[in-house]
Amino acid sequence: MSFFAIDKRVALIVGAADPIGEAIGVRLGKGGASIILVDTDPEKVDATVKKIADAGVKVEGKAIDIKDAAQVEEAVEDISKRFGSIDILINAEDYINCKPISDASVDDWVGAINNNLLPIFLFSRYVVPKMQAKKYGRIVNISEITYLGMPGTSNYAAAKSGIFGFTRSLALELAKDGITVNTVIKGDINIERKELSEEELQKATAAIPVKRLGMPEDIAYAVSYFASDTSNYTTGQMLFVCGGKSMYSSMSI
Amino acid sequence: MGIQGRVALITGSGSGIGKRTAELMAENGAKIVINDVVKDKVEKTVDEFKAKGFEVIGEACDITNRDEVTKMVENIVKAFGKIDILVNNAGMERAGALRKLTEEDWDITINVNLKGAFLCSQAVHGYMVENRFGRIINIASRAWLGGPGQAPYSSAKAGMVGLTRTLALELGRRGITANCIAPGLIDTPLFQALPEKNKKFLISKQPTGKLGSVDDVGNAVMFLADEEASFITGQVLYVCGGRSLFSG
Repeated sequence: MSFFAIDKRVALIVGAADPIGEAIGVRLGKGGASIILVDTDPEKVDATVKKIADAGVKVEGKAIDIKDAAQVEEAVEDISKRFGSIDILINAEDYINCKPISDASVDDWVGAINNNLLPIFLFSRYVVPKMQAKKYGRIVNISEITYLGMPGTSNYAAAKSGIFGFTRSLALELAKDGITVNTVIKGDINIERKELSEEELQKATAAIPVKRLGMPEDIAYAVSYFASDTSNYTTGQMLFVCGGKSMYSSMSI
Repeated sequence: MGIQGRVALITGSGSGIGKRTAELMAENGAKIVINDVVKDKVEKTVDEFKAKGFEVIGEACDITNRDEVTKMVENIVKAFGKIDILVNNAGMERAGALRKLTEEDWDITINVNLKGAFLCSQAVHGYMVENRFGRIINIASRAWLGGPGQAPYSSAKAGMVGLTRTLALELGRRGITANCIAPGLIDTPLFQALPEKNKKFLISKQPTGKLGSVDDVGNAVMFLADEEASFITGQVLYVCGGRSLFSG
């Protein structure tokens, strides 16, 4: 993996106090990047930081309200001052509150949109000027395959679809600044399926062309490509890491 | 992890993107097979790579000819014992306004780009199934989205996308992934041969204001060829500086 050049880069991972954030932190950290993990729940931040550190990676955590503009701006200023730059921004927040339309309240709708999209906007808003000043940046958003359309998920799917337009627009806007913006779309990842019964797990696995569920490391692998110097000429792209499940839907290329 | 010890056939690797991809793979520990329809190019590239200490063999053959493809694949398995990675890179373009294109323009473009990829995939996949491991990477083009004057080329490359997705669905359970890379405007000998005025115009149309390099494409191939890319299949990865997003 020597060709994924991220050595000495500063990587900010947002909304990452979960196994996927952990896998991304470990991967980028082992590649030589400094890792800063930001999320809202201090306990979860601490626990994830500890796991990443246990893997031998230099990492620090920051618990702030990732939907609060003032707190995000302050955190970005602080990190950028102390580390000298923010080269890589990973927007990994995933707030799942899927509801059938007849059960969904306005709060469910606003919750899905704000929790999933607002942190992506806010961190990009304050990090991008820092990247522009250095004429270098890698923004990698994490979306979820449900955005292609699944019953009972309209509020969540709408929020995750927002990442599509955001990624493409920002990629074009920043193309001449040495900044790439891409999205990794996760498919069915084992970690989120723990609450499923054995039978349901088997059914989920059978529905995936490669006949296995994904692992957080599968997502981290793809993220490390987009986060590196190696992917210079790739921007505005949506890459499904889903064992081929995306092929059952249109809008997947 | 990585591609250490993997055997990779890269078609059309006597020059340009294919040659650089082969070199990158060899630098990362793969055993490589150089293929081109022009025997001279194969021999020259193999000599060059042997001098660098790479494990490399050459197979000059016309990939649109089934017998030649079968023979090539047999030779590779004889030499290296297996085939892990197939990069369907060989391609060519006959461009022109619809009224000017000949039937021959259509046939040769479809055959080299699409039929060649089909024949090579068909010939190697059995060996991949045996080892429960395979990576098929098809070099399509952003032009599959369509472009004036590109009827044969765009159609052939669009065909490669369908081929990729079908291979991914058919072979997914066998440990084999199939993906497409769709390069945009890349700095190759082919591009450099264009008139200065055309080059300037094409570059001005890029969102990044820049050309891509053969390294950019080669690195994307390596990304998908890696053992760790096992959960990525049936995808089209554009390496086009964002040109696929909006080309108006």
